[in-house]
Amino acid sequence: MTEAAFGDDALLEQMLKLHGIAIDEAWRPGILANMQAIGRAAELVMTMELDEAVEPAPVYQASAE
Amino acid sequence: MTTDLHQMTAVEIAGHVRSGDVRAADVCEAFLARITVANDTLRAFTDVTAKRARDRAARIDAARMRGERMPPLAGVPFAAKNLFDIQGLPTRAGSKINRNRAPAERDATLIARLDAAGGLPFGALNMGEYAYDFTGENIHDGSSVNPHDRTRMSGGSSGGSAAAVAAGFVSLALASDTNGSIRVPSSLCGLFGLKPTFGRLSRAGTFPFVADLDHLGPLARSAADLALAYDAMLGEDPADLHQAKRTAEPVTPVFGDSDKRIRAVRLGGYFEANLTDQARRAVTTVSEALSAARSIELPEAHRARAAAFIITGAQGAELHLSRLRERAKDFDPAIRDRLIAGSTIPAGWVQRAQRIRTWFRSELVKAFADADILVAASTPCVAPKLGETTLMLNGRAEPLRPNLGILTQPISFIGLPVVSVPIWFEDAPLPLGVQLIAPPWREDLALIAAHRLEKAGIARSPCAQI
Repeated sequence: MTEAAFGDDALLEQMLKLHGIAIDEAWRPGILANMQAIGRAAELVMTMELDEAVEPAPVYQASAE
Repeated sequence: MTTDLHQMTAVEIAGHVRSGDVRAADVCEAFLARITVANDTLRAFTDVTAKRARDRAARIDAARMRGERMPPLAGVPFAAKNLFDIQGLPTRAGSKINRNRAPAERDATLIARLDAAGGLPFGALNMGEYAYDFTGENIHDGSSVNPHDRTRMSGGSSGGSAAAVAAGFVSLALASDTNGSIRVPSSLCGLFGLKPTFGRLSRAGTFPFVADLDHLGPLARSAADLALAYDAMLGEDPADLHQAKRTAEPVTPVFGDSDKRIRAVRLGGYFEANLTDQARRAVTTVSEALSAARSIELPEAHRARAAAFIITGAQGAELHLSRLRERAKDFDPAIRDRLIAGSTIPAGWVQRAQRIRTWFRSELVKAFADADILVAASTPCVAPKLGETTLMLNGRAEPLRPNLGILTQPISFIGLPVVSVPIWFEDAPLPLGVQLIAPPWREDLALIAAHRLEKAGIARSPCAQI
């Protein structure tokens, strides 16, 4: 399975249970369509070659000073 | 004179109040009258704080009578997107759910600063639910409408902010921009909009959307008004953890610097690929006016946009998880579906997106090695019709909602300061914005370039007829 295949009904069902979100069945196609859009974006993100030295952007500082 | 007050810029109004030509109370009444006439149609305001504005105006007039020095925004009407805390109002952030919140005990930092600078606080402005929007549509309050053509969108998510300034309801409006929500409505409503550098202005006292991408800034009808408002809002605020530790760098002292050399470069590739003819013409006009003979491509801009999309989905979903559990039916359906989908995003995708953010920033550093301003359209098209769901780009029908932000999203992703300038051709029925993108912390360069375009008559922002 690749990122582009994201938007699977079984995965949505699992995540809804995990998060404790109850949906109306009429919402399901819209949610799945959004998951598929996320999958297409994720494919672009995850297939980009990046040097391991490139760090994530957010920087935490132990002191707010 | 009072009949023309709404046509004036904030700088002009403050000048007249300072000199005593006009009372702040008269300014206040002139603008409130316009709201009374047209807000039901344009749906820009969700709450008008008329008493507060009148009280503030009376205090300014009294101070002037006592011979006190007038503050920089004396008598200038302003309002804020309703995700800003306004003392006494629940901060609804475009939602039904947030209306149950207790009224805010104090103003957001930026509102308090504009008030302290003499601005008249006119109230809270309509917006797309929880700022997850590019259209200005809102099912709870009704969609804000484009004052230049009432059959068209204002743009979002700061739709009320743009509609209010374009209609002459206020001179300045505050807004937020996570992926384009200042620049898109500025473009569609023909306004000047400033999205400052990420971390520049305090976000304290505003309802968040995406902690890593949220910016706040002003919309106005001139570049000088943006500079005036921006300077009044600068300054450290310990209440905002994301604010950068930088000394305030006011732009007003350098704003009119006519000798300043600005090296402009046009963005090609991704930023040229999906434009309507009018958008391409606007970019060409601005590029020529700024002597941008060269064009460059930003590598992987489409992946930068995708990475911003992933971070937005994941962080937005986490923020709203308890509301999705407890009150999913009370969301705008389009926003709800997007947020629930966001709650399924694997953590590794978010982390990779954050690494791409670092990488893309390093690429932009290279671009600015021999450029001060990068030029790109703010939106691919002029304001679409209300209710429109598709956008024709290069002969293809694309979904409208996400693609209104296709040109803004990669830029806010790395937090660069941008002024969107309104380009309104004499032969075109509607305006369209062009982004002037500056290096980090160089809002001054974008504002100086915007001011030059305005002085040359290329960028202009007429007030709509109501």
